[in-house]
Amino acid sequence: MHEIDPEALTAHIDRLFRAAWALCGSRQEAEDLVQETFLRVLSKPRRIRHQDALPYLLASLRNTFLDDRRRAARRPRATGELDELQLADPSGRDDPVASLQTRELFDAIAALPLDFRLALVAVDVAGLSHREAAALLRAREATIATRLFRARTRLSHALGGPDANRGGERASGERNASDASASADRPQGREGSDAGERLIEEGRR
Amino acid sequence: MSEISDSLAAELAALADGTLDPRRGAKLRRELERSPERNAAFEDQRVALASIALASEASASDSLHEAIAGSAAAASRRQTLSAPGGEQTRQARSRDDSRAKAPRRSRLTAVVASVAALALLAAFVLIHPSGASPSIAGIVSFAQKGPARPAQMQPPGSDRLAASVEGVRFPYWAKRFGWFANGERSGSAEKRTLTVVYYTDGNRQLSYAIVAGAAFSPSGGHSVSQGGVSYRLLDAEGERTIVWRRGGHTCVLSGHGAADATLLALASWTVAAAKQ
Repeated sequence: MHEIDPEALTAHIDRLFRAAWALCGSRQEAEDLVQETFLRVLSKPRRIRHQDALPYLLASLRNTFLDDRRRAARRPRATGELDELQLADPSGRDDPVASLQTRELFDAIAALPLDFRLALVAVDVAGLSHREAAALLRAREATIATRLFRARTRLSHALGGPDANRGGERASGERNASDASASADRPQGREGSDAGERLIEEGRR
Repeated sequence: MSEISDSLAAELAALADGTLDPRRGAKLRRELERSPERNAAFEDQRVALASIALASEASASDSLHEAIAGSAAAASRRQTLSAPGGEQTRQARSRDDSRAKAPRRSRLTAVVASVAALALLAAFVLIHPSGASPSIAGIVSFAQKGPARPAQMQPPGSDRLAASVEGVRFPYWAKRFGWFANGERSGSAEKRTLTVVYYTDGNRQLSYAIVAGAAFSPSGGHSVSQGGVSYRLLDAEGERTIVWRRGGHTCVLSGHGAADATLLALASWTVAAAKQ
């Protein structure tokens, strides 16, 4: 067991921020989520099994995110969503086009069913291995890989990818099970938007 | 509508992110050539991954960085105080308090010792404003632990990887030199945070560390100047190592049996590419 060095955790801020943004679909909420996660983790000394603290931080982020969602579900919803304001990048490093593309991408990820989204965020956004993601999400590695496939397929279609009009792959088991949660979990998904298509074009180059 | 089984889906996902066994990967690629539908499904995987790579530069605001760094520093201080050494110090202080009636000479000695300790601490802080400089051996030793996670993909068309330390991104050497990034590790060495990206050419492995915070100057070995940049070549932890500054940070590239010319070529190309 290793005691976490609090100052070493700061190396993961940006990675955790991207994961948070992809989870909740809002830059502002992501900043709050990351700050809350760090406050929780730093509130007392922590010991972890492995040297790398990223999986631990990501687990804490996921728990914080799920707790917030549960609390939000119990609260009455305000009519005007603050998120719609789409504030500019407060860091001042913003490139407007890149910023729009990034927002489209994270919107599309946030619209994925929760199981798919968690797998995609853990592996593709945060950079965990399939094995680490399986431990984090308490699922088999094969299940994580299957969820990744479904998540990436939906993401590609949502962004107007090469096979967007195919109607999506139809497969067994998990995909259908997750469909039910997709509609309830999804904010306002956009499909085949201009910015999404630009993103794909750049992705292909 | 096509049917893609869970097992095939899992394999296609692993093939796309490079985690599928190479032999099985080669066989699956041949199968994809014969099936347009499966190939389209695989293409979706690649598009999604490329799109995510494009967003890998999104970073948290400076105010969030500062707030978390402040909380981390406070937590670190609390941790130091509650460590066994810190506890002993507190107990010793408590014992000192209970000995208020100790002979005058003992108290004077304690005061002198405290002042000396404070002076030493102040001198240390003045000399090392951004924390102690880690040794190159400490950095190489950290890198020798090996990858903790897979490397992130490079944004398409970029000569740099998505991974970065305080805005300084790691280079993409695959196209120019045939060295592929195959893993990453972040953590701290001698109280300085750093990130290491591992590169392989199929046979050998190199580790490239960028240390967070202000750059520092190592000693030992010999220095070579190229394009106005000073590179120091030395041996650390049994590995040939090159150290230089890039973007205000110390970079350390090392590998077992690596040739000086290889290290210098990779390091200097990285500096030149960053200036473009």
